[in-house]
Amino acid sequence: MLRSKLPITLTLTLMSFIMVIAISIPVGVISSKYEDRPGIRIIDILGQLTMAIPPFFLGILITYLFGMVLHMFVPGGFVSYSDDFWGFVSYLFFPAVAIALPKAAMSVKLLKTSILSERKLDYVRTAYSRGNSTTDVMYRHVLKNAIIPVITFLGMTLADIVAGSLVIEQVFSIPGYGRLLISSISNRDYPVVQAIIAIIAMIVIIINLIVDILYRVLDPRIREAR
Amino acid sequence: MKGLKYKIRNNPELYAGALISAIMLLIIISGTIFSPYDPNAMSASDKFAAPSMAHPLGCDNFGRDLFARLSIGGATTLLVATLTILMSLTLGIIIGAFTGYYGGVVDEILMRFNDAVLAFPSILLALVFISQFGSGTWKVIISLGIVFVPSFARIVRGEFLRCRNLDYVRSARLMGAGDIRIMFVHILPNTLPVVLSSAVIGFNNAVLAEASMSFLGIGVQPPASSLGRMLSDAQAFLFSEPSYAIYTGSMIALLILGFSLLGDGLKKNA
Repeated sequence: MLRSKLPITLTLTLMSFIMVIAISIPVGVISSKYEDRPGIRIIDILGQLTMAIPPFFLGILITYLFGMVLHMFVPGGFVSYSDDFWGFVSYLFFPAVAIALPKAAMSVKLLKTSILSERKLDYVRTAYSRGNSTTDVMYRHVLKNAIIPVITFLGMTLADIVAGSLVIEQVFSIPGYGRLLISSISNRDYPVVQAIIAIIAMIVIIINLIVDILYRVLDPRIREAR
Repeated sequence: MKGLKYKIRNNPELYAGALISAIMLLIIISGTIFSPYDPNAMSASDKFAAPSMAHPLGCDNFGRDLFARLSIGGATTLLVATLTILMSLTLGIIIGAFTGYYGGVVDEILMRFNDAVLAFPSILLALVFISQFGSGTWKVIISLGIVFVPSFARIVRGEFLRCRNLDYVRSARLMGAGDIRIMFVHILPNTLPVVLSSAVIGFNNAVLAEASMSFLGIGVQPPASSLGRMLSDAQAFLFSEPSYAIYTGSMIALLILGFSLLGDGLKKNA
């Protein structure tokens, strides 16, 4: 029972995590590059609004707009991955968006603050004075340093996304760990609850381990400290 | 002295957040106290009544006045969040003060325990508590209260660690003040700006956590109304009556928006 549901929750988590990265890094870089333009101010305000919308409400809004008005997917029409893999992935797309958007907004805000504070430092001026172009300085110098706090955040976010997917599964009626967990809690089926919590704890520990290893890969200061 | 206009431009988050939160509080209080309707009184003839002078936001699937229910639901959510934060803040300040001020082995052990709890998604941990102790408003408050302790303990500990060897603390010690007095009379007031802004952010997380738990049906139990529960009811009527879900969800979103802006603004000021 647990093994057949694991791919569902994992796929949903991974899809939304990839979306968070795919949205937040370009938007963060662009919005810090043109920080004073009015268009960027609008993105900031939109981001602030998105952060405030709870994922389950975003899920309901998406169900209504894309499912019931625009008919882009069938709400509740979940397809199992063993039957039709692409149908499965495309059904998970909108739930993943609902989890990813608020997290992406937070990560954009963090990346932007981080880039803006890095850009004031001396090494950036040095890099410019050596004749690097703006793009070079941004990607080869600033982003490398600015991304460190974002990675900490993304590590924590991945754990949050696992938890968020439990709630979103309820909204989009996806038969993953979330629904199983909730129904076992209401039915007082403690062994199942314990098993799911143990599996999620393991996933969280593995994520934290990967983040710690990533630090050492990305930041030579941490690599050489030991 | 600088004018209000300058202050608003300097920290727009604080003022926007204060404004939104004040409006939401006003709506909730006015709807709870002055609404002529009993939020739980059903009326078959008013089922999904359209907005009118009698029912400003219309009625829900049982003909209950939506505005009254939204206010009382918001009040429940706010009550749960406030009590949660009061509980976890008190415990967090006590744990953080002692571990940060004294340090040592106990500090090491408690902080490793803290790290373990913090690494885990808070809502999941609250679900574990609920699954063991059962659901209900008080149990939600206690479980969320326990889950939020580590984040406060860590912040308070950091502040105490920073302050414990500053000059004013040393001179208080020279004057013969006891440890407890130094901790709670001298250091604590100096940590308040940081602690307060983190309390507002924690409050926000508590609102979100309570709403999610009620949405999942394991938080506040009916007949007590709560915004999360109403949203999950509204989802069933999403196709025919989208406004029910939209009003309820916007209420949660605006509450969170107001307090998150307020928290950002306070952090900027601290």
